Amino acid sequence: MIHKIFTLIFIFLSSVTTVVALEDPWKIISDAHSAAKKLNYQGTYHFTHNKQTQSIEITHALHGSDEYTRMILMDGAPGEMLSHGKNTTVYHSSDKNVHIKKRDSHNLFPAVIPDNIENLKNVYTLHFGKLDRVADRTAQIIVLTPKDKYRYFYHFWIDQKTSLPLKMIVTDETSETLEQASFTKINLVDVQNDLSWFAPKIDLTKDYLMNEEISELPSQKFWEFSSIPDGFKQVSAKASRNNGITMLSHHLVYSDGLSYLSIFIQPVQRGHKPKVGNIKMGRTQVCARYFNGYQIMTVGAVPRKTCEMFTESISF
Amino acid sequence: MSEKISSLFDNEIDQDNINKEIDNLSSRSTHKVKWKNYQVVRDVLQNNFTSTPDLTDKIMEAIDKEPTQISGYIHKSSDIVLAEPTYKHWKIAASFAAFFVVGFSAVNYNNMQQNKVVQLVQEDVSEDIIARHYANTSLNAGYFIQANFSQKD
Repeated sequence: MIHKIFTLIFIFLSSVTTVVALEDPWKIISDAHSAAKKLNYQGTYHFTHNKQTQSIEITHALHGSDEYTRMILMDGAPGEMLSHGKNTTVYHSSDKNVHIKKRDSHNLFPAVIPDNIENLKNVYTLHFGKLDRVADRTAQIIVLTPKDKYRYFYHFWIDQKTSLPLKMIVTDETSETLEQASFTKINLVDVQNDLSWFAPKIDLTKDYLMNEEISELPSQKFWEFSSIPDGFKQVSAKASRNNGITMLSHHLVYSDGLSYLSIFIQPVQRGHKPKVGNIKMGRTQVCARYFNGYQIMTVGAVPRKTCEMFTESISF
Repeated sequence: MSEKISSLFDNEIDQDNINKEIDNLSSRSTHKVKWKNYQVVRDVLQNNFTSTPDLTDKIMEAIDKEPTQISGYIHKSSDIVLAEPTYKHWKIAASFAAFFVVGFSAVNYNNMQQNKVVQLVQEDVSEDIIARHYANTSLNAGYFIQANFSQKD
């Protein structure tokens, strides 16, 4: 009798879990996005890119409705980023100076998942993997498998308790690792009232320079793409001046929410020979084409055919 | 009769007979032509000649018979002079042709220079392009912070 009751309870719990998973399998992704933005945490993670690993210390807090983030580079030349809402400033030290620059906010690890995940549903398939352990915490493995050949695979280790992404690996179709980020230590706190940590580390031996070398202008669209991979949408378009000529250079950024690529449209100046073809620099694809007096150059950590498709399909 | 007309113009006829001779000459049409001619000859010799309606008509008639000139002034006296403007046209045409050839070659050379594409190599991808790409697209804070900052100290 007891055996039958346990069997019924087991079947009931299993069916409830299955229904929840079937009802909203993508909830774990949207929860991961929210956790990275709303939780208070401080920790250190390693990021590997182009076979180079760097340690980054991160402190994140939600104070009222404002989001504060500070990231410090722990290896190599000193550098840090302070972000308050949409205002992001980076400080990078060289031998004598500290360069300061304002930046557009961006989806840096662990907040890599975009606000709107609807587009991800169209171009990736969600798979649940096994449970694993990262930074001494239990994490659920999630794999986003691309539905076509125009993007890579994204593997996430989602903290089972808080839904915070603890680890991310990007692989290509041969399962080769392209990028990897992983917390080695993380502390989560309920409330973060003390914001004294939200200030750059000042080095009095160096001059602080505001770096505004490239003045960016709003870009007026004169180009069009005859064909781009599904799910890729324009994220930004900026124009900048060129020395000696009145024609502007343009920098477009396209993304499907996880994959990003840049398209540079630059006028070819007298004496410069336009470039064609494509090369791979580490994990970054670069494709070049000459069109109508302009050098088209596409750069991105995307498959070669994605890079070529953007480069070849642009016209004006 | 011609002698009478001539003597009349040379004032060799008596004044009494002048009116009579004039009436006599005027009455006959054949003498009218000679009368006119002697008038012209006299006026020219005495520097009194201006023009006559007949002469104007003849000049206008002669002008009308001349071929129409598009431009320039053609001297009637020499074929050599007539040949000179044709030669000038050839010179102008030759100049235009030379200018066209040189200009076309220059433009074409520039176009060839512009359109002469070369294969992309890693050195062609500027530091600025990579930096601007990572500053806008990286998931990695390391690239995000360092992008666009070259070592210019």
